Amino acid sequence: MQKHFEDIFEAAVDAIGYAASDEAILLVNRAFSELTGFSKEELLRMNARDLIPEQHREQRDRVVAQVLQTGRPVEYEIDYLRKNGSQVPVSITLFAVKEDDGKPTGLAAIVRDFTERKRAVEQFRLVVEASPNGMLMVDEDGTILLVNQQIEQLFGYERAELIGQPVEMLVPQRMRSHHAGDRAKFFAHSESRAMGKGRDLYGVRKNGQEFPLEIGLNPVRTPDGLRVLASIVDISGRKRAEQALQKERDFIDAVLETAGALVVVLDREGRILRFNRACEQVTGYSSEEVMGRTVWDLFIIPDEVAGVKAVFERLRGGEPRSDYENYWMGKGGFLRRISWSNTVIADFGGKVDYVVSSGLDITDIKSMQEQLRKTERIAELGTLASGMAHEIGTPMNVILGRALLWRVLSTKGRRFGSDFPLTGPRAWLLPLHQPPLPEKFDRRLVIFCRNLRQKGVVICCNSHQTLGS
Amino acid sequence: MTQDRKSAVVLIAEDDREMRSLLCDELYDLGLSIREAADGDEALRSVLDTRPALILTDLRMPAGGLDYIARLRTFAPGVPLVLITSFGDQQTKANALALGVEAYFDKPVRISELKEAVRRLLGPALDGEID
Repeated sequence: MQKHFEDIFEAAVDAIGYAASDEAILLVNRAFSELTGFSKEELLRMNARDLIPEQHREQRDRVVAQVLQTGRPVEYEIDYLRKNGSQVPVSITLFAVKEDDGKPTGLAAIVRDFTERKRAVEQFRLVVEASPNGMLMVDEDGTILLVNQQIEQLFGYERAELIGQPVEMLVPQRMRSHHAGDRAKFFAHSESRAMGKGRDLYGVRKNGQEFPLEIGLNPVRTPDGLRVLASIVDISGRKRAEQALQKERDFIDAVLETAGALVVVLDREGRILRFNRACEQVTGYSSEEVMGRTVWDLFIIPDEVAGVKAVFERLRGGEPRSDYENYWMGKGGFLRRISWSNTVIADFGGKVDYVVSSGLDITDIKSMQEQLRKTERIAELGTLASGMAHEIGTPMNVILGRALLWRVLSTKGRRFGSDFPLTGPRAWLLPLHQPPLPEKFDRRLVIFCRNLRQKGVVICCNSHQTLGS
Repeated sequence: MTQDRKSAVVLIAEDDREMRSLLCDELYDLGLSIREAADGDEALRSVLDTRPALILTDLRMPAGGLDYIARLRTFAPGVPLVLITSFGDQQTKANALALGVEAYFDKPVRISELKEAVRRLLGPALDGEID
């Protein structure tokens, strides 16, 4: 059994040593010899205090006295002197070895090389320090254990003012009680997550000024217990940008919603993303009803679907803008004529993301134009009729007058004698081919017919009719 | 454009030569002295020169229209005006009558009715019809 213990003692990874009450070294294992660089023989001739650098001896003596006095083990960190004069950071668990009567007869120490751990801790510190975010570590009590430079700048405190203080000092007064409760819950169910999900978080600077911040929480398990490393970002700038953006959106919304023009925004598949109030009023559809649906499924009459799709394809293909006119069919099946101006919003690569269409309901204007056109036509017709009446009325008057005159004269046989053959009530229906007609009448009739032909009027003359029959 | 006679003078204003000729022939037969005018300006000059007993005028001719009728009325306030027009709608007729036109005829006019109106308006001033 003794042999087994000796083998275990010798093979242990940790350095183990035993010293008498006066700290004369009595027993060391191989690992102890390797750690210090002294051989076993050399160590057995040394006092344990010889391994402690001069400046740490006083601190170390207090620990030894405490162990001997209380009988309870103590863990502490210190540097050991090596044979080559260098120092090695170690973690020592020191406990008293007692007689059966309880009186201490010596001290045993389990010594671990702390170099790697110390290096890891240092690396951790450097990483934290170099972080662009504010980094802060707290223990379960909420005591600040570590901060980086960003935290100092962010909150306006010196590092020394923060270490050892409750983290609630960085939380606005009105939120402190909640924060302590939330912290306790987090330690009970710790996982990496963003803090205060769904609500705005604020910090308070040394000067009392509050500012919005975002906090990421990371639980870290250390030999000393659970710690939380918090990453803190000041989002004042982002909040300001968000507010400015929101203000701009509100403004655009107000403009779009109060504009008389129809404004509809489509994605590159033609689905409706935006449908302003004017669109709602013209179509009878609410914005919610049309979201995500295509305009040609909802509003375009079958005859115009191909044309509208062609315009959309050209826009999607890179045409920067276009104008188009088509009908929109409203909810009740009524039609409105809309004049559209279309443009596109493309990404940095030129790919069209959105098509923005602004339209004017020109149904009433069209109707008025049509009415005006009709009115103008009627006026034109009046002018034409007036002209025609003038063109026809005057020569007709001459022909009628002359014909009557000739009839009278022929009856009386005064001026034309037997050359003029017409008598009776239908004498004005003259056989045109039949010479000799009186000069005035003949010339007038020819001119009259020619003028009317120029105006598109066709004269039908029955040259075979026998007058007076 | 004058046919001298010692009888009542009638001014015939008509831009259509044939129509004017017809009217002249017809009214000449009433034993009247005829003055002719081919447009509104000539008619107004003739009114000032000859002081006609009656004016027979077209409405739609160069320098014509209702303004011309109003001027005729001003230059010859007591002279009967007979208006012949090709396209006289109700409004034109009403306007013309409001300006003091005594007789109004739409073309084509019945010569007999026209002569009757002239006879009626001239009354005693008419010497006698050529038979």
